[in-house]
Amino acid sequence: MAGPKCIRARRLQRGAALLVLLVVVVLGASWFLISRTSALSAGIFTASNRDHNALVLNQAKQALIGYVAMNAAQSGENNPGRFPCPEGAALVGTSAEGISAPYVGPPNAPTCATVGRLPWRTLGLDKLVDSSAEPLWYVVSPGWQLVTSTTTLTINSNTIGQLNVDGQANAAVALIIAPGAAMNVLASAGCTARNQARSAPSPAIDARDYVECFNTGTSTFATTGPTMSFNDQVVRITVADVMPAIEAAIASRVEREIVPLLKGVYATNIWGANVSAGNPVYPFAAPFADPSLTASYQASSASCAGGVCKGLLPVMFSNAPGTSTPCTPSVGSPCDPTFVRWVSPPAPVFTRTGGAALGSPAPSCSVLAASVDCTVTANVPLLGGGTSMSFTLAATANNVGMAMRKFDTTVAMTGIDPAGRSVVSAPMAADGSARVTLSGSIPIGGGNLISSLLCTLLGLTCYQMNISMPIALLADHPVLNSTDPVTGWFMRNEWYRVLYYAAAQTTTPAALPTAPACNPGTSCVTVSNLTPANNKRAILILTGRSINGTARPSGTLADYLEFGNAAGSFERQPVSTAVDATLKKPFNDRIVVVDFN
Amino acid sequence: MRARQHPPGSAGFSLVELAIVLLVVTLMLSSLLYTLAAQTEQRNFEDTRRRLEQARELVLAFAIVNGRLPCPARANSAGVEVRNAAGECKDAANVEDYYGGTPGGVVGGLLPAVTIGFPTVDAAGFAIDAWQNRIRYAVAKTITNCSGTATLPHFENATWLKGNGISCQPSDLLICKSGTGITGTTCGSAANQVMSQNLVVTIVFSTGKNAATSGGTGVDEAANLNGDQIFVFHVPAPNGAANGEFDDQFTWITVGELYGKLIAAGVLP
Repeated sequence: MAGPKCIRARRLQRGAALLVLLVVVVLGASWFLISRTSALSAGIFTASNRDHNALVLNQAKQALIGYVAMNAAQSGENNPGRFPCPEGAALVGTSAEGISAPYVGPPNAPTCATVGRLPWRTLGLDKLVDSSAEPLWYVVSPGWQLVTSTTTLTINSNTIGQLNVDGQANAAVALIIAPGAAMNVLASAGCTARNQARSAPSPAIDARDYVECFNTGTSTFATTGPTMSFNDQVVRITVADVMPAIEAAIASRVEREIVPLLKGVYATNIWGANVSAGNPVYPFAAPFADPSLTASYQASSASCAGGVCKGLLPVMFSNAPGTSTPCTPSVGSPCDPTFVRWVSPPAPVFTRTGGAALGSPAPSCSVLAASVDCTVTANVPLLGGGTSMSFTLAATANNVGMAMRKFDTTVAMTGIDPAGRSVVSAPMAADGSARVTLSGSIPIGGGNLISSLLCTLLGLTCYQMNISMPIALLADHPVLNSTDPVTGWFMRNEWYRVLYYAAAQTTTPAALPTAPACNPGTSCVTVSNLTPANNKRAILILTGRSINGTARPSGTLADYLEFGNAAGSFERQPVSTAVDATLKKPFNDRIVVVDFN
Repeated sequence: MRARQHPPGSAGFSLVELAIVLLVVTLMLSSLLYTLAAQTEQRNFEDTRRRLEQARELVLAFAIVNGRLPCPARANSAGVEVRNAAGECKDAANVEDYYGGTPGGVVGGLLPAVTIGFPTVDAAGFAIDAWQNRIRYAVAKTITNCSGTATLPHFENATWLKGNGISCQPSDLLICKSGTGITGTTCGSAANQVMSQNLVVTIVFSTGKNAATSGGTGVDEAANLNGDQIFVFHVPAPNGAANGEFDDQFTWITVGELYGKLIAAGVLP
C-alpha cells in the first residue's frame, strides 16, 4: 500500500529545494545589483573626473587668455598677442617648475617647445592637476609664440591659429590638455603605439608619455580618439576665444602709443601758417579697398564725402624701415618709393641768399624721379671772397597730405653742406602737395672750376656746382617705422590692415590754407554713443576679426565694419558675439578717438 | 527534583560564542566609525574646497557686474565690504584693510559674503567653511607696470580700473611655499614663491579645521592672519611639522583671469 509511505516521505521534506532556490535568487539579485551599482558608479566616476578636468581646463584657459591680453597691453611688448611658451622641460621637478621657457637661469631651459606642460607659475595659477593628478599640458600654434628671443611674430585680427585639430586645419591657437592616466596606446588612425611610462625625469620628460595622437611636425592634434588609444581631455583656445582680448589690448595701445604720433604728423606751422599743435592737419584717407593690396593705401581727396574723409589709414611708406634708402615694393606691402615725389610744375626755384655771388648762367633746376637737381654757377674774387653760397631751394612734392611724412635734413644731398640745413617752410596745399623750401649752403670748393676768359678778366674764380635735393628729405614719419622698439609693433604686425580711419574734411589738407579745425555738430565727425558724440576731428576704428563669416582679405567694407560704421554713420556699441541684429550684435568694432574739439 | 529539560535543537549559545560575536561586532563597528570619521573629515575638506571655489566664482561675477573687485569685510560689518566713497578699502575712521589682520581692533580680511551674495553664512552674515569658521579674503591694493595712468585704488574702483587699463598688474599679494624666511613684503627668495610676482589680485582662503584651536599658531598659518600682503600655502602638514600644523585651504584669482573675464564681458578696456 502506497498511502502511508507517501505521507512519511512528505513528512521528511523540509523545503530544502525552496531554500536552495531562495539562495540562488538572492545571489542572482545581489550579482545583478552589484554589477549595476558598479556600472553606475563607474559612470558617475567618469563623469566626475571629466567634470573636474573641465573645471581646471577652463580655469587655465581663462587665465591664459587674460595673461595674453595683459601682456599685449604692456608698452614695450613688441609681439602683442603672443602666447607664453610651455614650461621648460628642464624645469620639471625643480623649484622653478611651472615657468614658461625660455627661462634663463639654472637649470637653463632655452628652448620653446610646441608641446609642454602648462606654465602655471608664469600664469599665476596653482599647479592645476587633472583627475589623475597629472599636471596639465599645453600646445601652442606656430606663429603665436616666440621660439627664440630674436623671433618676431605677425599677430593681428586676421591671423589664424595653425593647429590642426581632429582633422580640421587652422582650428586652434592653443590647446590645454588633461593627460589622464598613463596608458598603453594602441596604434590607430592618427595615433602611434606607445606604452606610456611616466618616470622619465626632467629634461627627458616626453610629451608622448602624456599626450596621445599628435604630430608636432604637422601640428596635428586630437580631442577625441579610440578608447584604446586616447584618454586625454582637451580644451581648445581658438582665434575667436582670444582675439577679442588681444584686440581690446591693441585698441588701448593704439590710443596710448599711436594716436599721439598721428596727432603730431602735421602739427607745426611749417606745414601752413594756420597749422599748429592745437590745429593739426590729418592726412587724407585711402578710399576703402582690399587691405591686402598695395594700391589700397594710396590716399586721395576722393575719400572725402559728406564732410568726412574715410577709408584706410594712409600708411604708404617710401623707405626701408628705419633707413633713408628706398624700400623694395612687394605684393601687398604699402611700400611705394614714388608715391610722394617731386613734381613740376610749379617749377623748382633756386634763390641765393648770401655768400658767393651767382655767376652766369643763372641757376637751373630740373625735377627727376627721386630728386630735384640744380646747376649753380658761383663767382669768387681771386683775392678773398666767400667760400660758400647760402641758398634756398623751393620745390613741390606731391601726395604729402596723402601720406605721413617728416623732414630728415640729414640725408645725403649732393653738393649741399650737411651743416646748417633746414626746411624753412612747406605749406601744404588743398590738394595735398607741399611746397618745400630747403635752406642750406653750397661749399664753393666742392664745385668744378670753370676756365672762362670773362672770369679771368674780372679777376674771379668761377665754379659750377651741382646740388641735389632728394625726395628722401621727406622721410617716413616714425609711426611708419616697423623697427621702432616702442611703436614698431603697429606696422610690423600689420594692424593697419584692420584699421579704419575717418577725419573731418575740414581737418585735412582740403581745408588749407585756413585753420584745420571742425565745428561740433556740423563739420566734425559724429560717433553715436560716445559722449559728446559730434565733436571728433579724427577717429580710428579697429575693425576686429571677421565675424560675419566671410574670409579675409575682402574688398567689402561690411566684412570689416558692422552696422552704422559700415554705412558711414559711426557708432560705438558693446563688443559682442551674440547674434541679434535689432540690438546691433554681433559687433566688434572698437573706436579710438584720435582728436576731438 | 527534576532537571529542566531543553527541547532538542535549542541548546543556546555558550558564553565563548557570545564573546566572539561581540568582539567581531565591536571590531566591525569601530572600523566603521573610524571610516565614518575619516569620511566626515574628507567631506568637510571637499565641502570647504567647494565653498572656496564658489566664493571665487562669485567674486569674479561681482567684478563683471560692478567693474571692480570688492573690499574685504570686517568682523563688525555684518558680511558687507568695508569701502569708502573713493573706492579705498577704508572704514569711516580711515583705517584700511586689504590683507586681513585686525584693522582698528576688529578682525578684518573676511569674505564680504553679503556683498557678493555668498549663500552659506553664519548668523552675523559671514561666509563660513565646513567647520563653521569664517572664510578669509584679501585683495590687491598696489599696482605696477601700468603703461598709462596708475591711479589708486585700481582693482577696487571701476573708474580707475578702466582708466588705468589692463596693462596694470598687482604688486603686493604674494603666496609663498613656506613661512620660513618671509618678510612683510617678500617670500625671502624667488624659490619660495608659489607663482611669479605681480599676478595675484585676490586670495580666498579657509583657516581649516584647526582654526578654533591651534589655528594661526604655527609659523605658516600665522603668516596668513598677520595682516600683511604675504601668504603661505602648501599641502597640509601635521602637528609636529617644522612650521607647525597647517590645514589652510587656498584659492586665488590671477590678474589674467580677472582681465580675461572683464574683457569677455565687455567691461574692459
